[in-house]
Amino acid sequence: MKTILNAENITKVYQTKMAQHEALKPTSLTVHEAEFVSIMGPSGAGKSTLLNLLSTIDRPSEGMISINGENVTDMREKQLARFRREQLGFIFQDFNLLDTMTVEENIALPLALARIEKTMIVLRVEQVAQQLGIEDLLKKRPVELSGGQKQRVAAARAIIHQPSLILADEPTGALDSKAATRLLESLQTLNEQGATILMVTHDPVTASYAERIIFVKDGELFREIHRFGTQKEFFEQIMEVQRELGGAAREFV
Amino acid sequence: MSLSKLAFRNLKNIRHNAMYLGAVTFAILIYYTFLAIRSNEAMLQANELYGKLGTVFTGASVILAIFSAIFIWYSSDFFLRRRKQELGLYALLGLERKQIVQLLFMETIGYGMIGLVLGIVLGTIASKYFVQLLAYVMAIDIEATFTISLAAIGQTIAVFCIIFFLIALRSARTIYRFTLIELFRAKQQVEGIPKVHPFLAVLSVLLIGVGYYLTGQPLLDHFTVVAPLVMICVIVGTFGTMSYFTIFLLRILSKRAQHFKGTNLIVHGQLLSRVKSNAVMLSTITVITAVTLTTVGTATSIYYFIDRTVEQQMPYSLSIASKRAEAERLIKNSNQTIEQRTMVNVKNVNHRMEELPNPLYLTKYYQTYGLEGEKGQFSYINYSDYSRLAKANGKRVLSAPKQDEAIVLETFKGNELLQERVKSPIGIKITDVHSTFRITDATDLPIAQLYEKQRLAFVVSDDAFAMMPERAMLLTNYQFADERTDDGLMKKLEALYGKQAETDMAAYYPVYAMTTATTGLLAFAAGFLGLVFLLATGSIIYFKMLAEAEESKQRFTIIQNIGVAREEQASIIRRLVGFVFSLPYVLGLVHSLVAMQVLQKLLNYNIVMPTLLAIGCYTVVYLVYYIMTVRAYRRIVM
Repeated sequence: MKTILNAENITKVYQTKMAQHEALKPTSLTVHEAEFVSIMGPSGAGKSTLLNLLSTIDRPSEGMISINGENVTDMREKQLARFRREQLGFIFQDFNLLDTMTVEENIALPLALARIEKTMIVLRVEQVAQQLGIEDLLKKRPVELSGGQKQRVAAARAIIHQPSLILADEPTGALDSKAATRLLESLQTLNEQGATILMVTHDPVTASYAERIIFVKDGELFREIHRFGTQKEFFEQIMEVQRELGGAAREFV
Repeated sequence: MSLSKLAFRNLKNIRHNAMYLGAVTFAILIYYTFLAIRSNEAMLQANELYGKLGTVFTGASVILAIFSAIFIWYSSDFFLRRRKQELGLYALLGLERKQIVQLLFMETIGYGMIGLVLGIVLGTIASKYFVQLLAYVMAIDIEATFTISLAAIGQTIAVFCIIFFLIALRSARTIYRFTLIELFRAKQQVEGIPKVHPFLAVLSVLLIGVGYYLTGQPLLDHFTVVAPLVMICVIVGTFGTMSYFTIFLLRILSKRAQHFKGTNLIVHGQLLSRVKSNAVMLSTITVITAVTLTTVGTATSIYYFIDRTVEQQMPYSLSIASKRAEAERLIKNSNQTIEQRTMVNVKNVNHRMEELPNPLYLTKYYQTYGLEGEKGQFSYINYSDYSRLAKANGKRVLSAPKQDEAIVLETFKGNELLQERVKSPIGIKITDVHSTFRITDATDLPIAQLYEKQRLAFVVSDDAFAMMPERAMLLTNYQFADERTDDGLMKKLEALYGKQAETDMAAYYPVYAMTTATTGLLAFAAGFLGLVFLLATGSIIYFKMLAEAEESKQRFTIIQNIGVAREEQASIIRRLVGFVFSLPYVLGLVHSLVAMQVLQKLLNYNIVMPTLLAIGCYTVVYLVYYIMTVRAYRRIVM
C-alpha cells in the first residue's frame, strides 16, 4: 500500500531564553493511502504539536516528514504554502471558514487558489456539496449556519481539491452529538471512497470512527490500536487504553 | 491596586499606545502651531495688514478644531476596539463598569496631558519655522524667534479638553452598551452582505455627471443658483457613489469569472463586507480631498501668478499726472534710480455711444462706457508719442494711421466663463463728439496706469490729435531699477500729492506689497490647512484600516493554514488597502480637476503648472500613507 505520510524521528523543542521545553520527543509514524487514523491523548500531551508538524504549519526541530513522497521539512515557505493548498485539506475545531464569503466561495477557495476555470470550480463545488448534503446552503454565509453545517462546509472545502491527506483537528469539538455523528459518518464515507484522513481528538467516541488510533502521552507515542471488530468493541478498547494511560486519574472528562 | 495606579501603569506602557499618543500629540501640535503663528508678535509688528487678516486665521482655526476632533475620534475608536478584550478581562476580574469607565477616563486625560505638553513644546519649535516661511511668502522681512503665546496655549488647552471630554463620553457609552461576552467577542462582528441598489448606484454617478455638466455652462448669469446646485449634486453623488456604486461594482466583479481566480475571492469578500461601514468615511474623505486640492491648487495658482497680475495692473513703477519736478526730486533723493522715463500727451474726448461694439466693451476702463447719466470718454494719443512709448516698452512700432484711422491700444480677451467670443476690433468705427475713426490695428501698450485719468485709448495721426479741441494732459511713466523695494519714497510721494494721490499718481510697489502679503497669507493658510487635511485624511484611513486588520487577524491565520503563501497574503493586503486609498483619491482628484478647470476660465491663466505641483505633493504624501498602512496591516495580521 502506498505511504501517504511518513514522519521519522521528528521532535519539537520550544526554546525560550530561560528554559527549554520538549513538546515532542523523537516520534516516527506512517499513514498509508485510504487510511483513517486518529491521534488521541489528554490535553497537553503533544497532539496539537504533532498535528501542526504533520500539517506543515509548524516545523520540527529535528527529523524528517514526507507527504505523498515529497520531503516537506526542507521546503521553503512559498513551496510549503503551495504544497499545503494542493496536497492537504484541513478541518478545524472552530471551522475556520471565512465569514466574509459565501459558503460556495469558501468551498471554492482551494480551487480558486489553484487558478482553475470558473465553470470547473462551480461544477466541483456542487459535487462535493451534494456529497456532504449541503447543496442548499451554497448561497448562504457562514454566520447563518449551525455548527454542524459549518463543519460540513469546512469538510467540503477540505476535500474539493482531492488532497492526498485530510487533517482534522478536533473536528467535533464544537458540535453537539447529533451533528458530530453526522460529520463523522461523512468522514467515514469519504474515507471509504479513498480519502486518507488523519484526525486529532481527545473524544473516544469520535476516535472510534477511525481504523487505527495512535495514543500520545507526554510528548511521546504511547500505544497504537487497530480496529478489527465492530465500532462498539473498538470503543471499549479505546476506553481501556485510556484508563491505562493516565493511571485513569487525569482524564475524567 | 487602586484604579489610578492601574491607569498609570497602562499609561507607562507607552510603546503599546505610541500611535494613539502620536495622533493626539500631532493634532495638538498642529492646532497650537496655527494659533501661535496667528498671534506671532514679530509678524503683527512687521505688517499692519497681518492683524487685519485675522479672520482668515480664525476661520481656519475653527476648521482645524473640528478636524482635530474627528481625527482623535477615529484614532481613539481604533484603540478602544483593540483593547476591548483587555477591558473584558478587567470586567471578568471583577471591575465594575463604572470603574472601567473611570479607568478609561483617567487614561484619556493622562494621554491628553502628555499630548498637550509635547504638542505645545513641539508647536513652539514648529511655529518659528512656519512663521519664517509665512514671512517669506508674504515678502515680509523679519527674523522669527521662539516665542510662547499664553493666549494660544490657553485656547489650545480649552479646545482639546472639550475634545477629550467627548472622547471619554464615547468610551463610556461603548463600555455601558456592551455585555461582558460582547467585549470578548468584539472582534467577531461581521456585517451581512450589503444589498445592491442598481438604480441608486447609477443615479449617484449620474448626479456627479450632472454637477460636472453644470460647471461647463455659463455660470455667472445664475451663479447663486447654479453654484450651490453643483455642490449639492457632487456631494450627494459622492456619498451615493461610495455607498451604492461601490457595492454595485463589487457585486458585478463577483459575478465575473475573474472572481474565482486566485485570491480575488478573498479580496472581494473582504471589501464587500467592509464597504458599507466604510462608505461614510470614504465619501467624507473624497469631499475633503476635493476641497483641499481645489483650495491649495487655487491658492498656489494665484500666488504663482502674483507677478503677472501686478504687472498687468501696474505696468510702470510709477505714473504721475502732475508735479513732475517735485516728484523727480523726491525720487532723486531716495535709493531708487530711474531707468526710464516716458511721457505721453493724452486727450480725453466725450462720445455718445451708449453701447460699445464687440469687443471694445471688454475694456478694463469702466469710464469708457456711457453709463446712465455719465459721459463716455475715449483717450487719444498722437502717433509721435505712441512710437516713443512703443520703443521704450520694446514693442514693434505699427505704421502711422491716416487722418480718419486709429489704432486701439488694447488687445481683447474673451471671457470663457461668460462664453463670449471676441471679434477682431479691426474695421470697427468709433465716433466721438467731433469725428469718426476706423480702427486699423490693435496693440497691447499701456499708456499709463492712472485709472482716473485714462480711458480706452487710441492712437491717431498727429494732425488729427492736434485738431481735437480738448486740453492735453501730460502723463509721465517711470521705470525704476528695483521697483519691488521701497525706502519710504512711496510715503513721501503720497504726502506730496495729498488729496490728489488717488488721481494723479499710481505706483507699482504698494500694489505689489499688498498683493503679495494677502495672496501669500492665503496661500500659506491654504497650504497649511491642505497639509493638515491631507495628514488627517491619511491618518483616518490608516487607523480605519488598522482597526480592520485587527478584526481580520483570524481570517489571515485561516488562509495561511489553507496554503496562501505570505507573498499572496501581502498582495491581498496591498489590494485591500489600495482600494480604500484609491477610491477617495481618484474621485476627489477628478472633482478638483473639474473645479480647477472652472477656475482656469475665471482667472484666464494657464494654471496647469501650479495645479500639477499641488497634486504632485498630495500624491506623494498619499503614497507614503499607503505604504505605511500596508506595512502596519502586515505587521498585525502576518
